[in-house]
Amino acid sequence: MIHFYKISKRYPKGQQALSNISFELKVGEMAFLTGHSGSGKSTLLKLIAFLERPTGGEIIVHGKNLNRLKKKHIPSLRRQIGLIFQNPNLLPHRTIFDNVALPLNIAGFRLRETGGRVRAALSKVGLLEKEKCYPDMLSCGEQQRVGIARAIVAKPPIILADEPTGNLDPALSREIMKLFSEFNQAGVTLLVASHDIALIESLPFRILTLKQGQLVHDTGARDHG
Amino acid sequence: MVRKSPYTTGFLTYLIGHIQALKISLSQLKKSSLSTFITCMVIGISLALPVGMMVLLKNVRVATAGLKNTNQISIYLKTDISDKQRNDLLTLLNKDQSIHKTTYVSPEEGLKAFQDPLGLDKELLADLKENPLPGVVVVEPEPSLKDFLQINQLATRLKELPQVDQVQIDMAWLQRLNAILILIHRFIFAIMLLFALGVLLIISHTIQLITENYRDEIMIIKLLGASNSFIKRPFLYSGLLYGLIGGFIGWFLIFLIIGFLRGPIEQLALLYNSDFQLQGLNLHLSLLLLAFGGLLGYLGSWLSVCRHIKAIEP
Repeated sequence: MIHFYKISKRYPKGQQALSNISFELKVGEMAFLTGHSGSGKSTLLKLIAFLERPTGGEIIVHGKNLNRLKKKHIPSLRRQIGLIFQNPNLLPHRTIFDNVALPLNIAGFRLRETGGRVRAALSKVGLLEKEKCYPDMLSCGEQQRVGIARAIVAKPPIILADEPTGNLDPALSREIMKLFSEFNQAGVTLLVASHDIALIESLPFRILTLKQGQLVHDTGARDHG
Repeated sequence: MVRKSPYTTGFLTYLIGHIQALKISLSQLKKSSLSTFITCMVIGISLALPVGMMVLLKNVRVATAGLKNTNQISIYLKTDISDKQRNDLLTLLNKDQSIHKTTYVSPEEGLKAFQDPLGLDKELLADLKENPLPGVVVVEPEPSLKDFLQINQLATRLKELPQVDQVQIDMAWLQRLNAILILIHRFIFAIMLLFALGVLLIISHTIQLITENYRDEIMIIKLLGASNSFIKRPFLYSGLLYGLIGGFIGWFLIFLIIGFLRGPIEQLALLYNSDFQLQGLNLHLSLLLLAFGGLLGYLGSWLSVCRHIKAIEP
């Protein structure tokens, strides 16, 4: 599903964010990406969503070689990916419902279908009663969960999450991780960046460790249980 | 069982997308209602000025259309010529290729024509010892001579003849009026183009400010996989709405001005024994004005959106 082959990324200012990274994430696999801040986690996720371009190597996402992706096909690539950011990036002038419905509007879903899906996604993150609120009426943790609902509402085959539990307390973090593993069981491919090592080591998923832009450890698939 | 696709298809998707874009656009305009109002007023005034002038000009045309547009030339003969000299002249004129028809009006006929419509006292005229009027030949040039210059040439040629005292081109002033109207028409058209350009720039600039305000949102929506045309749509609608509202304001201003002028103009027409009525914008022109406003609005926002949305990349 996601295939990195000898990927390097150097920013224009000169710092080497990633060097010579190769790994493959199979369809329906879930993995954590860990490492200190500045180790290149965010850059790696951005490369997958075509928010940055590699300076060397090849990335294949959902069967498409990103080096050969035409500009007009970027939007359709992004619609295959549910992105969850450190900062939830909600639209301040729209209600929670409208925020979550946004990916469905973009993809052109039927109106009746939209309402059902938005409410299902909101109830998964436990915020159904907030659908008429605006983002600034919610706490950081709640906003983060709205961001997650928005990422899953269109049921994309890939979900990328950058520190999704950064603003949440341990109990909620565990809840969110449980949610992710449920998506994974439904066949979604997930790559979750997190530095909460205690939490991710307690879960039975593959862990990729980055250090100064290099892939220093890969546990491989671990047994569920 | 075949599961129904969650996606809408074809036209319905298109329609829903557009309704949503229109809603967003309306909320954009509503949120900054004062600046929206000012922008629309500026557009309205810019449209009303040249279009209003055009309407007035059209009225002048209507008012002068009743005037007969022929190019008669009146030749006033010298009073001391003999009948033979006069008949020679008439024969000569009738042979002339650029003359269609001649009519001779003798001094006696002239006096009678002078007397009838004015209703002058017969006795008063009888007091005149001599008929003061000269013989007049009214010349109708060939219809092929439409150009004022050609008529003028003919008149100059006729003036050279020995029997002729004076030559007058009767409808010359109408020709001049028409020429002036054509000139004014061109001038107003040029002004209209300039104002249209102004409206285009105003709308383009306004939309640019809006896209700046929504920069973060545009970025986020791009991250979620929206195509450029999806992002552009609400802004194009905003431009279209600006243009349409501006067009309507322009129409309303013209309506007010025409109403303001109607009374005095009809009074003036009455003094000239005319039942001339000031005409406003008819339905056709009103719709045209609205469409013109809308078109300018759409183009203006298109110009700005194309440049700015591309520049915003996550």
